Amino acid sequence: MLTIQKLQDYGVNTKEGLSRCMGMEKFYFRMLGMGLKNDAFDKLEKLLAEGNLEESFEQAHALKGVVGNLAITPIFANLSELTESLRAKKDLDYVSLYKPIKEFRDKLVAEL
Amino acid sequence: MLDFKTSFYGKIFDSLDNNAVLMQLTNDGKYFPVWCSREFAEMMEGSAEDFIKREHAEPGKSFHPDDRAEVEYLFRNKITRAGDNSLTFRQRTLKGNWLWVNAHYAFVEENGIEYAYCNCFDVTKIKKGEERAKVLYEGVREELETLSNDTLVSVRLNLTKDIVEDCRGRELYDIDLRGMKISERFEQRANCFPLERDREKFLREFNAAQLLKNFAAGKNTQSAVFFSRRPNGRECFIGYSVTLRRDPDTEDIIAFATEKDYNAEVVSNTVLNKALADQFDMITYIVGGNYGVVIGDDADVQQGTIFPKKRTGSYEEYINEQIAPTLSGSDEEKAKVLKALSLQKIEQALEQHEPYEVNIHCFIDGEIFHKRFVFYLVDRDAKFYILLKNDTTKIQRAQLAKNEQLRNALEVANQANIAKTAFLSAMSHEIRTPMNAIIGLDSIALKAPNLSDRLREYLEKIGSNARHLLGIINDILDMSRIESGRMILQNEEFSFANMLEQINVIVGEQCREKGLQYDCTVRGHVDDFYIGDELKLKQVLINVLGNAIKFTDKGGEISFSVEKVAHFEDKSTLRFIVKDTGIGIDKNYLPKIFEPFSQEDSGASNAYGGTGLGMAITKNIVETMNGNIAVKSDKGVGSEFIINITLRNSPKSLDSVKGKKIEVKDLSVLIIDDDPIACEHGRLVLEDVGIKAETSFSGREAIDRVRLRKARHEVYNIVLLDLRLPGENTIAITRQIRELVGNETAIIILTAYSWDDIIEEAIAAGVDRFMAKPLFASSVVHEFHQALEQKNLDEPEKQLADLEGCKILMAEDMPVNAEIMMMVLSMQGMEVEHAPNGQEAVNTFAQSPPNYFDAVLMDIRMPIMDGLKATEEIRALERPDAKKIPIIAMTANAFDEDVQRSLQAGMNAHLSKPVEPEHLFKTLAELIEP
Repeated sequence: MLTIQKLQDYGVNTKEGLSRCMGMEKFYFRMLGMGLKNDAFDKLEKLLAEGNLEESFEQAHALKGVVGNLAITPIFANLSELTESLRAKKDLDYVSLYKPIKEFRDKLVAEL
Repeated sequence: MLDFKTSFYGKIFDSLDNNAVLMQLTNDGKYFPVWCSREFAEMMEGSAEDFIKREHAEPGKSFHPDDRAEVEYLFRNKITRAGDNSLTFRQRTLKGNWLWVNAHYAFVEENGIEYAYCNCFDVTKIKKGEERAKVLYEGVREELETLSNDTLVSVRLNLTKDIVEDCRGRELYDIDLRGMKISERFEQRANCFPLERDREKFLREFNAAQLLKNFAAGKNTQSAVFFSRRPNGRECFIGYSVTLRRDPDTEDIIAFATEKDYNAEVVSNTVLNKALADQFDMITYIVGGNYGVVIGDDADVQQGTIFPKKRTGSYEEYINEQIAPTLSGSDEEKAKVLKALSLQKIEQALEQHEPYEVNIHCFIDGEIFHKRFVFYLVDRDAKFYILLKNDTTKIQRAQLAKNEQLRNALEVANQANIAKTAFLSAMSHEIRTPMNAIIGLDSIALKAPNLSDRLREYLEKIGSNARHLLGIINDILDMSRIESGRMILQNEEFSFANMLEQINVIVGEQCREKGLQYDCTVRGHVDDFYIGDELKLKQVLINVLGNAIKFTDKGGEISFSVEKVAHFEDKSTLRFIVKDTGIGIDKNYLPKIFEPFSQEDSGASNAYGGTGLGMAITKNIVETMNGNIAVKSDKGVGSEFIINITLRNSPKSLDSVKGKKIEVKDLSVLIIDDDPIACEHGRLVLEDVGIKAETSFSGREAIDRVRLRKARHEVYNIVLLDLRLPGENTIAITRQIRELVGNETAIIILTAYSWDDIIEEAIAAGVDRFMAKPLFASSVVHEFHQALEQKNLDEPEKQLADLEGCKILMAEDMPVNAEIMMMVLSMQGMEVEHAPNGQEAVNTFAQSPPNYFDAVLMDIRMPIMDGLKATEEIRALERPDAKKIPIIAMTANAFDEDVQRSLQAGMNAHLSKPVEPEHLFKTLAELIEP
């Protein structure tokens, strides 16, 4: 079971996230659940593997907004970088770039 | 009684047509008439019978008592005088009048009775004339021979006998003049005149023959003024005057000659004639409404004369006929002048004060003449006045010409001064620009990694010298500002404690470096805040403290004390005392210490440097602040400067500002300068004090940035704008920025040049403040604080909409984001309708009644229709609220291009995700019309 303390230990900026949810812890966790379970994470993994950068950008960008909103700091910077790289259509190994993001998300989802 | 009528004598007498009387003389000495002729009786104013009757009754009584004895003696003794038996006596007529009678008498005898036959003449007239002549003569003699105060000598000359009869006086000559021949006397007298012309004139006019000739011609007085040497050697003007009279006794012609001291008269006459005539062309008396010219001649007045045509006449006529027609000016002015010159006004005015003066302008022969009338009072009751008139045209014209000259000279001097000040100012500014580059590059170079110690030392020295040079240039600028009267004092609230702290940091550091003991004490209570010009005050104190440091050798002490010495109304007087144990100031130099460009001696100047302007500036600033500065010093012991400054009290205290303090770390600043070095330097300086700054090389670019920031609702707190951007008008840029940001941003003009000339225009365009280039970390924080505090004070409370009950249309495809946002908004009492994509948002809006929604929150990246397209479509709808409903972009796209795109699509603001609720509320409140 995830707690504020646990989230903090993982590096999530719960303070910011909570404030965005008007300090309502229950609501925050609900949103966290909604956000993390969002299938965009899986879609992005698939699209990246397919090399569909255009679509990947859309998904990444959407996720960035959600992750930012919920203040999931540990993956926000990575996701932002990924999004901007995709926007610029840089030729990168996106699959391995996305891996830590996906892993962190999966870890949190598992503990939800 | 003898029957005289029948007698022989009687018959003879009767036949004589004469004033004859026959007196009978008795033995006892009595005498009375026995007969008189008709003529005699008539002379006696009665009949012969009455006369004889009266004389019989009182014999001899009709003779004057003074004459009676002589008559009696003659008759008793029958005195006969050889050839002339005549006698003059006074006898009373029958009417009681006295007559002078001259009688020729002869004694006769008949029948033993003795008679005196008298043939009489009435000599009353002759006698009275003689008497009068005598009296007159004596009067003249007495008057002339009685010495008045100014009579020097009085001489009586008998012209007939050619002899000096008498001589008296206060300044007698050595020799007795009496008995001297007149010609001798005159010649001797003439020798006392030092001037040949006087000698000649005297001998020509005052010789006996000439005087006799004059007398014969009826000219009885003669006088002249000579310059004479007196017996005691004194030289003076004398009035020599001769009065001629016939001595009634001797019939001799007598000249009374008097000499009077005329110095006073000559002087006063000269004064009267020359001095007065110099000032006045006419001196007139006025009495009984008439005037009489005493001094003055129309002929002497060359031009523009208003001299009276007659020497005497009616004053009113003179004014009306000669003055009134010449007056210049409007009818009203003319009437005023005429009233001022009226007798009534003169009388009235002279009762109040004397003299009464009236100045008039006359238009004569095509020219304006200035005339002055001055009235004096001679006798108030008699209404007797004196009028002095003169022409002041020359004076007035000279005055005008002089004024003109002075004005021109002043103009030239002012222009020269302005030119000098402008030159100094321009030069200093021109020097400041490259100095900027030097300081900027130096500080950038110092940031370079891997600097060798040696290079670092050089760079630091370049920096400190450059700053020193800049200090000197600033001094010159200050001085030129002071000299041109353009030093403007700020009147701002400032933290006194902060100021002291800053001073102590600077001064303490310098003292530590030099090995001096520094001590700052605040005596008694001093307020936390005052209102005044903090920078200038700091400049003054640092100047004086800096001097103390400069002139105190290692191991010395410097003390700085502050004390509130007076408190009145809303002001406090603070006394600052700076004391050092330095080299002191020579007594002779002390009075000159505050003069510009003065230094005690070239030796000191060489050893200590400086322009010699510091103290002059200090004193000027202090005096501009209505304060004063004094100095005491002992050579070799130390100096003490005492500065008194009055500041306005501030209602603020430290407690009242707690929590309101502006945190510089939170500031966002935009630096606009075409010079990349200046931009970079500015950025570095701000970074040093923890302020993040963006830079922009042109005004146009800066305006775009400001616009984007505005859209993000993250406006710059401060915009630093270089005054001289090539090809751009700073004022216009300011105006545009101000239009964009409203009153939220402090716009500070940054310049190496003087801003005096543009200050008004700039402030009107929206500039808040000016700062001199280059920026210094020490002053920048203070300046920013001041600018923002001022801004906060000035800013009116913005009217914010109440968000409660507002209806928001939100387009958001991500359910998490949408839900969070809906939660956030509903917590604030807003109603939210959610559209999962742009198309639905457009549809929802289109189907809503007009003005139903208060705002639209628009995600950009959405499936089916993105936010940009949706915004365009909403804006394109044909309904009244389509154009004006606030549409706010919310997106993770935070790049400037994105913001730009949002704005182009017609959005009002662009918020980056993750959106802070407070930020969102604020944005909504600002955009929704209350």
